[in-house]
Amino acid sequence: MNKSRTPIHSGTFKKAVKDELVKKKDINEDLNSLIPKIMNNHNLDTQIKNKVQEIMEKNRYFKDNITVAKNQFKDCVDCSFLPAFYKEKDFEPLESVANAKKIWNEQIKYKANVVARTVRKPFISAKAKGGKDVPEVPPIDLKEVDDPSCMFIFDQNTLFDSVLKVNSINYAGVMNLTWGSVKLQLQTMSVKEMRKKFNELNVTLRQIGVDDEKSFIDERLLQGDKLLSKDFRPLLINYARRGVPPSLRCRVYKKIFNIEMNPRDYEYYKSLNDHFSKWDLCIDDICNFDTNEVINDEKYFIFQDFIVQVTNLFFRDTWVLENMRSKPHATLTAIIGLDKEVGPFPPNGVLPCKHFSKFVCPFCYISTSPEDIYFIFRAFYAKYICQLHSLNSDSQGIIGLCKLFEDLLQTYEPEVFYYLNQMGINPLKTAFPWIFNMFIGYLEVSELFLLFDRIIGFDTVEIIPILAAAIFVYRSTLIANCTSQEEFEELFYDLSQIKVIPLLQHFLFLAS
Amino acid sequence: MSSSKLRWKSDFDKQCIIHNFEKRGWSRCTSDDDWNIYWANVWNVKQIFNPDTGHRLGETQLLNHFPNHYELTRKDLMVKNIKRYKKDMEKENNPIASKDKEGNYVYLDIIPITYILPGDYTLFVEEFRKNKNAMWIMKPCGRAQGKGIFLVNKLNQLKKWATCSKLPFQTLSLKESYVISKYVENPLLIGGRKFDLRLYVLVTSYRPLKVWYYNIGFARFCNEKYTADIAELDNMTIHLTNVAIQKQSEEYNDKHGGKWNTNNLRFYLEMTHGKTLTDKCFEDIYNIITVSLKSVTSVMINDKHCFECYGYDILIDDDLKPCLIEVNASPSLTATSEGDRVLKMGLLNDVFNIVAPNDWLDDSSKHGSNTCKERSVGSFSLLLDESGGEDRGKKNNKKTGGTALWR
Repeated sequence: MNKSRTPIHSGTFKKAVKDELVKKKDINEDLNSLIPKIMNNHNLDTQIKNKVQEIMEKNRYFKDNITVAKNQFKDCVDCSFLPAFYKEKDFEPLESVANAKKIWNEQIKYKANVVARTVRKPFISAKAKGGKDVPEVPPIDLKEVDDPSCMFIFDQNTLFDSVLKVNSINYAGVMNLTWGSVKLQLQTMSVKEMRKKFNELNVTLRQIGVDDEKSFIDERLLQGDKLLSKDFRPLLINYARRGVPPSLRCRVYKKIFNIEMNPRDYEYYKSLNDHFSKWDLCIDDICNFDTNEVINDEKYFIFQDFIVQVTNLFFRDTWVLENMRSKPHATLTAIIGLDKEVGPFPPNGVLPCKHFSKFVCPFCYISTSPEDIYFIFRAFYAKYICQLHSLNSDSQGIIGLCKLFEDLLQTYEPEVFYYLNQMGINPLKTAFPWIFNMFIGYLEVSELFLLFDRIIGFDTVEIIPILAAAIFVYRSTLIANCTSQEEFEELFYDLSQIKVIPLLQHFLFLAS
Repeated sequence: MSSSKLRWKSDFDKQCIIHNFEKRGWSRCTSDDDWNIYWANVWNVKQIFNPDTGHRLGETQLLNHFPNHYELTRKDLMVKNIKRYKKDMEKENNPIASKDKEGNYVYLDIIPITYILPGDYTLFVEEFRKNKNAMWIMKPCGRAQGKGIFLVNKLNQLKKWATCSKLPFQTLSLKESYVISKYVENPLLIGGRKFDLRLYVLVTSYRPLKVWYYNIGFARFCNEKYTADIAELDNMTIHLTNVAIQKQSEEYNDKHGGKWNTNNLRFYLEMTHGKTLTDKCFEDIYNIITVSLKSVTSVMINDKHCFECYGYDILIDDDLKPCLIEVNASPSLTATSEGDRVLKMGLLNDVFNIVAPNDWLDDSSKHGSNTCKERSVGSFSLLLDESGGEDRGKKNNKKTGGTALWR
């Protein structure tokens, strides 16, 4: 288990204070004023500030009443009188969504068993050593499997169906409030709120991704270097809002995600590798089989080895289970025999969707070292990607994101939306793969990273459906001229020419 | 798209070529001399310029090769011309021949140490003895697609070649000359694999030199992980990036054909090695192209009807220093994947837009292939233009007026 960050060494700090006192002949100096000075010298004040910020972030800045209350009653011995959300993990306040979650969890569990049966392996098994032991069942050729749906646990289509099925129980249905296909009436940001939240993307401010002339990039490089040496995380996060120059991305991302890459981290990576060499997870087979399709993409095929390695290790890492912002599904428990619980399956608490390794692909561009790639990807997943696959009523869960997309489209281009509905075309059906996959595989890699910069800088995935809506609005005239489903699909077939930031700026601040 | 109807001829039955001609509404012609634009193979070009069999090209005829392109595209002649150019530049104290503190050429060091065999054999042996652990690569001068190439790390491997006509690796005739170069044992590896760059360069005139650089190129990757292990010296799928060789590997995948766009490469290098090193690497590449072309300006027959689209092969080592492997006169126009097809279609489209712009046939003052006055056409940008006396290296802010440096 990877305990979070290096604790501030009280021992070394005491020693430092003692040394200072010994050095200073003049003991008139008050200890009260000496200590802050020493802290500054050792950069301890920044470390403490960073630690505080980390704790705040983990608890969602205590904005949420539930989190506040949970902390208040943390040490409560008898919790029987407390409401449901203290006893339940991942409590879901809305009943309809809670029901949907239950059904989804059942589906996942069922599919996990199907997959295990397909590859003819138990969930976790020891790997044969040195080939001396002949496996009882020969490994099956996955290309020969008849039913392709046995080869994955869930994919974007199954999640899409589940999102659409979620209903509002207390909805009278008298007035058609929205035209979208998401029935759950979640509240989404208004345009005014959006403009305030994403203010740094304003056209009045220069951005990496729009104003890439040498003088601006040099300025950003200088500023980035200065912030990296200052080491204060919130400033770096703020810095990412206007885009990070490519040469600084690795260092900036590592600092923001609190990845220090000290010997302990390398040891941890090695231990994951050891786990991989000793134990076989049944999902390894479908993941590796999947990856063969993923790396057909000409942008990522060179990194095949890294992608396979990172994906395999990812599912063995219990850190993910402890640090995910939201769980895509209930954790399965692995059992030996009839009832002896071993632990979560897979160890990281997440089962792979189809083509899961796709999410690892872009991160191979960020560094030549597989450890860097692994830790950055892991942190990114735990904060952001997991939300894209989670059914909950949070504004950043997949239902909220879909609703946001539809509401934005309806607000900006009601005629187009109406027209599409008349034709029987659901715009969310086209945009859903973009949102589910975080645009990976659709955008050019450099544009993807511009998007990631903003996701990290504003600490939200809401920018993904905003981009999706921006693309629709940008091509609205073309959509209005479509006469058939095929023509419509052709319009969005190729997103490789999309420039993310000008599009977002135009959408947020210029379009009326 | 040209409004006038030109007659085209092609020796190659390739989609990229034919489709490009047809979508312009030009008509195909099969006769020997009635064509306006001829995409010929090098053998036919030789016949055209042969005093016995050839004929003078008309005012409205364009040909896709220079008469003696082999001065640049044959491995031995290229080496000879570059070596001669180095000596000439040094003799006249041209700043292009300047050296750094360690005595290495700043601009002229574009190819690895190379000798032409059998002529320079003794010189080669002298150099070989200086570092007995080095690997050398033997390449036949007149062949393509990686045929006949092998690696050498012991002198007796060559002695066998020198004395008998059958090599352990392949049969060859003694009359063929070879070049032997110091093998770059530390190429830049990405994903553990070796790659080289294929870049396209269009030359519409040699005197004055006018060079166009195609912004989109690709990196060709080996399908197997690179190792400098002596045991794998014979395994050409590790060492040679030619598509013809890689296609034989089991791992070959035709969805991407082992090709990676140079834009992605540049982005990757910026992210992992920083902007300064990456920019320097690409500046060095432009330098390689410029120097190699300048080295042959004096010997090339500058026929105004001719233009040539070269395929430059460049290798980058793990210090991000590029070097020139060779220049191809007839880069392959076969598409190995969808992305590749799009690239080659676009390439030819832009080539024809440059050499035969819209008003080319109509305007009688315009003759030859070098009529385009633009700075960029499609994905081609002007890399070097010595016609107006002004010089523009690509993205080069530091040049101060004088043409003195680039003579």
